[in-house]
Amino acid sequence: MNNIFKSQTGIIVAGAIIGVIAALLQYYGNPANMGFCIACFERDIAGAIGLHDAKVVQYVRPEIIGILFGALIISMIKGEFKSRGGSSVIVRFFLGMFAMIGALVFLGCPWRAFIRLAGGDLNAITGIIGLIVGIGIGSYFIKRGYSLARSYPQAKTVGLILPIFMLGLFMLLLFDFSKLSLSTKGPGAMHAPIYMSIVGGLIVGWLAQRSRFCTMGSIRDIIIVRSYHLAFGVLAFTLSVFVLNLFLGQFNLGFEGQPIAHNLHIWNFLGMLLAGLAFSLAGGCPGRQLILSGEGDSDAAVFILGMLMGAGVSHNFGMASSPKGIGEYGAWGIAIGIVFCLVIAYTMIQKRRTS
Amino acid sequence: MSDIVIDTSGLSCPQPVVMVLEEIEKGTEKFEIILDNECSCENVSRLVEKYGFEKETTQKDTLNIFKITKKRK
Repeated sequence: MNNIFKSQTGIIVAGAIIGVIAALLQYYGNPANMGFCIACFERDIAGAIGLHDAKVVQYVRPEIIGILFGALIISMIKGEFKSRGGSSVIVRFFLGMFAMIGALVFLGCPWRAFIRLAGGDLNAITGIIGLIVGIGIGSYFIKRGYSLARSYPQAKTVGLILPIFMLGLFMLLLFDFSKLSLSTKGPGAMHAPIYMSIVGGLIVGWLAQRSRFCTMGSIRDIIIVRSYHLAFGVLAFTLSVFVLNLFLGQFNLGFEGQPIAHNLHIWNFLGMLLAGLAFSLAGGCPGRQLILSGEGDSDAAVFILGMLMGAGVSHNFGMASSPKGIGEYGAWGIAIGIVFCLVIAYTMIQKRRTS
Repeated sequence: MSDIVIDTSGLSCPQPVVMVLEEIEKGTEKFEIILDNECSCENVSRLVEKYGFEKETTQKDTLNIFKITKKRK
């Protein structure tokens, strides 16, 4: 117990600091309005290990490894690290995959949606509305009894598999990147110095683990239990990115010419709708899934692997958007993803038993 | 009506809260909740506080399983 970050003030402080780090990482080299985009950064990692061949978005993002380990270390210190898993694993894998497909049509995870908004990118608004609608649909099913069923305790090593895999990638980046595909131009080539990224990630992982910061959860909790607790954190996050952007000259209001974004509103809406639906069915936004993976939740780790797979198929099958517009098969990806989510949501409604 | 036990072990974030909320909405005034992770404990604590319940926290064995009992104030 004794967790100062679980309070109202705690989540606001955590959200604000995460926002500061996001804006600073942008200032020191990360792509514009992408201080921390879990989906984009996992997509870059997928590219770096050759799961897709989009030359401009390939990099082993230390932020991802930092967040994972920040959560891992603090949860071990606080005795909250618990290896667990076995709850509808393949469903989580595919939810992760379709969440990524949706996020890459919009061009960002929920964290980035708020970062884009804080950078003045008004296209984020339709994305966030889509996110809310998607989470609303997911929440409807959760209220009706949708469940991925219980997870069970596992050996400690199981919870360490994803962190060690990610650590291995980080070691490759540091000591031998000859086999990694790393962008030489485009967003993948834009990054803050490695030490800043990893330290920033560690701090974010620590804060998000303590405060349970979750963008999807903030919206879901409002819908399901009228709790605004997490929403204060997201609000603080968005405001702090906004204020820092103003100071650092990173604010640029408008719809046109926004960095790594497009202004096809219907697709921004639908992309985030799919992502929001998948996140709510899986129980967390990509950031939260990383934190859970760091706490030993191997089901969340599988969701992350699903996202890597999603990044691969998104780019390989022409579903990912680019600033020029949506991919040739982006609409198909969204349609199939929404059908998948609805079928899963409907068929996985369980009758609850209270004994 | 005092033997109602909601076992949320192994279930993650929104579900324990939804299950407790359902029980509250049924009008149940006294029940037990078994929780196995910190995050759900915090969420459920906030929920029951909001609905004016009192809770007693007990810890059962080392597996960090909490039993929380509630009474109407």
